[in-house]
Amino acid sequence: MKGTIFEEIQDELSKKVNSLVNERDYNLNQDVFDLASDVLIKQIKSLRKDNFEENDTDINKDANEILRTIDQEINRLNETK
Amino acid sequence: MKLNKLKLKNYSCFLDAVELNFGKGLNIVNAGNGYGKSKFLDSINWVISNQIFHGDVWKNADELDLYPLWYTNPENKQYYEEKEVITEVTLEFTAPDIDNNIEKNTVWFFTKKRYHKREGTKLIRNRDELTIKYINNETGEQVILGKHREFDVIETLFPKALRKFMWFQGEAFKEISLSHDNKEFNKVLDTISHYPIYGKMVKRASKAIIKKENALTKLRREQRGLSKEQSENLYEKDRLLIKIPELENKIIPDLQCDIDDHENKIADYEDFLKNSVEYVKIDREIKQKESDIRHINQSIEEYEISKVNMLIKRWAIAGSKSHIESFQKKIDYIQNELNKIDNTKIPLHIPGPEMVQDMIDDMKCHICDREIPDEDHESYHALLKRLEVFKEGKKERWLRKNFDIFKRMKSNALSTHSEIEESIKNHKKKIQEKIRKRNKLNSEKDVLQDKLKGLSSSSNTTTGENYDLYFNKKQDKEKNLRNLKLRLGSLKNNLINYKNNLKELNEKIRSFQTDNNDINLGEESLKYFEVLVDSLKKLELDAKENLENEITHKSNSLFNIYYDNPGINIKIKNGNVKLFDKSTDDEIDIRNLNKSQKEMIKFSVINSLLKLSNEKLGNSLPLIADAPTSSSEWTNTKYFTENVGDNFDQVILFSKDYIEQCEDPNVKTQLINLCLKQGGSWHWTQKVDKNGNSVGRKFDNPKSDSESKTVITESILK
Repeated sequence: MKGTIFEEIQDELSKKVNSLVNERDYNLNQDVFDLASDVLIKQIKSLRKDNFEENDTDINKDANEILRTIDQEINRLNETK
Repeated sequence: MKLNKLKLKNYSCFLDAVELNFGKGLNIVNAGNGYGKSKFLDSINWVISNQIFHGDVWKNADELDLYPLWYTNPENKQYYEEKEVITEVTLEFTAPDIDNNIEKNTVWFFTKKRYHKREGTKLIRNRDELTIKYINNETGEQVILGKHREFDVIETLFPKALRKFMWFQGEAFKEISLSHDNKEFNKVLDTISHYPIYGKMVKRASKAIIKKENALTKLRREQRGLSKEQSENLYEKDRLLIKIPELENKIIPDLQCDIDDHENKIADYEDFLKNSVEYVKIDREIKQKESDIRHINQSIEEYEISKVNMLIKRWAIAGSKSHIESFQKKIDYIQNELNKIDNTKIPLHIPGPEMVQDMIDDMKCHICDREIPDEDHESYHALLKRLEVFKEGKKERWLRKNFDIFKRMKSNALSTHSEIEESIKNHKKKIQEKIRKRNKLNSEKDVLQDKLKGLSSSSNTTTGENYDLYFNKKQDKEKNLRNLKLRLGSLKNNLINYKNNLKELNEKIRSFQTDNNDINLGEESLKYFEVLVDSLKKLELDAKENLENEITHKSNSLFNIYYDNPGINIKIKNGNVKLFDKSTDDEIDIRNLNKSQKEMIKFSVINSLLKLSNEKLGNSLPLIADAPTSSSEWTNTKYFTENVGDNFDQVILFSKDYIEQCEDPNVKTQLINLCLKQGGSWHWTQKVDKNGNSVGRKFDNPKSDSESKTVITESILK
C-alpha cells in the first residue's frame, strides 16, 4: 500500500486551508496546518490496520494528541517571534 | 497484490490435486461449460468468505456440498470405500505485510479444509478448518495467524465491498445496477474515496475544538468571578458547541440520507407504476368487456329459452287444429240445440223438480194434498210435463255454459297463436341485436388484449393487485417523506437559531472576558482548528463529487476500448449510473440496450472503480472473473481481452469463450502471446473419465460428475 490517497489528501487540505485563511484574512502560520495534517494522517493510517474501525476512545485520544501538538507548535512559534 | 497459486483437491469436479500457477498481467483459464470453471472462483470465495454464489444468490457454504461426486459412485471402488474425505483449497498471495510493515509485500497462504465422514453412500460435512500463514520477511519463517485476527486480516487485505466487484461471475453479475438502488456500488465509493477519511479527520478536529473551548471556559471562570448570568451564558455556549456539530454532522445528514432513501424508493415505485398504469387500465377495461359479454350471453340464453318455449307452444297449438275444429263443431251443435229449445218459458217457480218428483212418486199433490188417481190422470201428465220442463232448462243451462267455454277456448287458441308468432319474431330480433353487440365487444376486447400483450413484452408491468400494493406502498413512503421533510425543516431552523444564539453569546462573553496570554493562546489555537475543520468539511463534500467525475471519465474511456462503436455516454451521479445518447445527449432507457452493451457498461464502470481503488488505496486486488464475456460477440470479447490487463496488476479470466476461437491455431498463439507478454499464464482444462480418456471439450459430450473429473492439460507460465 503506497499511501497515495494520503499524499493527495495532504495536498488538497493544504490548498483548502490556504484559501480559507486568505478569505478570512487571518494571520495564521501554514506550518501549523501542515503539522496538523501530518498528525491527522498518521492517526488515520494507523486506523487502516483495524479496517478503519474506530470508537469514541480512539477519537478522544487522537483529539488530545492533535491539540497538544498544535498548542506546542503555536507556543514555539510565539517564543521565536 | 497477486494470486500466485490456486490449489484444489477433492473440491467439486477436481478430484486429484489440481494446481494453477498465475503470473502478473493477463491469465486465462479455458474451461468449457460443466468443466468446473465457476468452481475455481467458488473455491476462492469459500476460503476467503465462506460464501458461494449458488443459484443466483450468495449462500453460506456450510449448506453446500463441496466434495466430488466421484466418491459416491460404487464403480470407483477405491474412492467409494474411503471413510474420511478431505476437501482442500490453498491460495497463495503476494500481498502487503499488514502484520509488520504494511508498506512491504510478503507471501500469504490461506488453506481451508473440509473434513467429511461417510454415511452410507453419502459424505457428510464434519467440520471446516481455515489456516492463514505468512512469511516473516526478516526471519523467512512461516507465521500462523491467530484465529481472532483472521477476520480483520481478510477484511483489510480484501475489503468486502471491493471483493464483490473484483471477483465475480459473469452470469450472476448483479452487484451493480443501471437503475436505482446501487447500495453495493455506493459501498465501493465509500471504500475508495477520500470523503470517509475526511469525515474521520473532521471528527477528530471537531472534538479538539470542543476540548479547547471547554479548557478556555474553565480558564476564564477560574480567572474571575462571574455573575450568574455570565456563567449561564458560558454554560449555554458549551451546550450549543455540542449541539450544533451534533445537528450538523450527524442528525441532519442522517435525516437527509433517510429522505434520499425515501425519494429513491418513491422514484422506484413511480417507475414501476408508470410502466404498469397503462397495463392495469387496459386490464381493467378487458375485464369490464368480459363482464358485459357475460351479461349479453346470459340475456341471449334467456331469450333463447323463452323463444324455445314459444316455439313449443306454437307447435302445440298447430297440433291442436283438429281440437279447434272440434270446438267449432261442438259450438255449432250447441247453437243448433239452443235454437231448438222452445223459447216459451214456463215459469220455474216452486214446486221445484225434487218436489215434483216426490209428488209423482207419492201419487199425491203435496200442495193441495189431493191424491192422483192414476197415471192417466191429467194431473199426473201435468207433473210429468213439469219435470220435462225442468230437464230442458237444465240442458239449456248446460248448453249455454259449454257454448261459452268452447267459444272462449277457440278464441284463446286463435289469439295465443298470433301473439306467439309476434313474440318469436321480436325475440329473434333481440337475439340478433345482442349477438351484434357481443361481436362488437369481442373485437374491442381482442384489440385491448393485443395492446396488453405488447405492453407485457416491452415493459415492466404488473397485475392490478400488485399495482394497488405498490400504489399503497408509494403513498406510505410519501407520507413518511412529508413528515421527514417537516422534521428536517424544523431541525434546520433550530440549527440557524442555535448558530445565531451562539453568535450573540460570543459577543456577550467577549465583553466580560479578560485578556491574558493563556486565553490568547487558546483563542489562536481555536482559530487554527476552526479553519482546519471548515476546510476538511468542504473537502469532504467535494470528494464524492470529484470521485464520481473521475469514475465517469474513466468509465467512458474504458467503454470506448471494450465496446465497438458504443454511442453511449456513462455518467455517475449521486451514486447512480446514468446513460446518455452520445449524439442527442438524451437519457437512455436501459431496457433498450442489449445484453452485451449492458455487460460492457457494467464492466467499464466496475473496472474504472477498481482502477481508482488501486490508485487511491494503493491496494491492487487481482481482477478474477468467471465467464465475463459470456454474452458478448467475439469482436467485443477480443477488445476486452486485449485491453483489460492494462488497468490491473493481475487479471485472471475463467472462460469458455476462447475455446472455439482456438480451433484456429493462429488465434490460440496470439492469445497465449498476449498473456505471456504481460507476464501472465495460459491454462487449458479437460474432463476425463476414470480411464483417463477425454470426455470431450464441449458440453455436448458431458459425463456426469460421478463418472468424470477435471484435469489441467496445458499450463504455460512466463
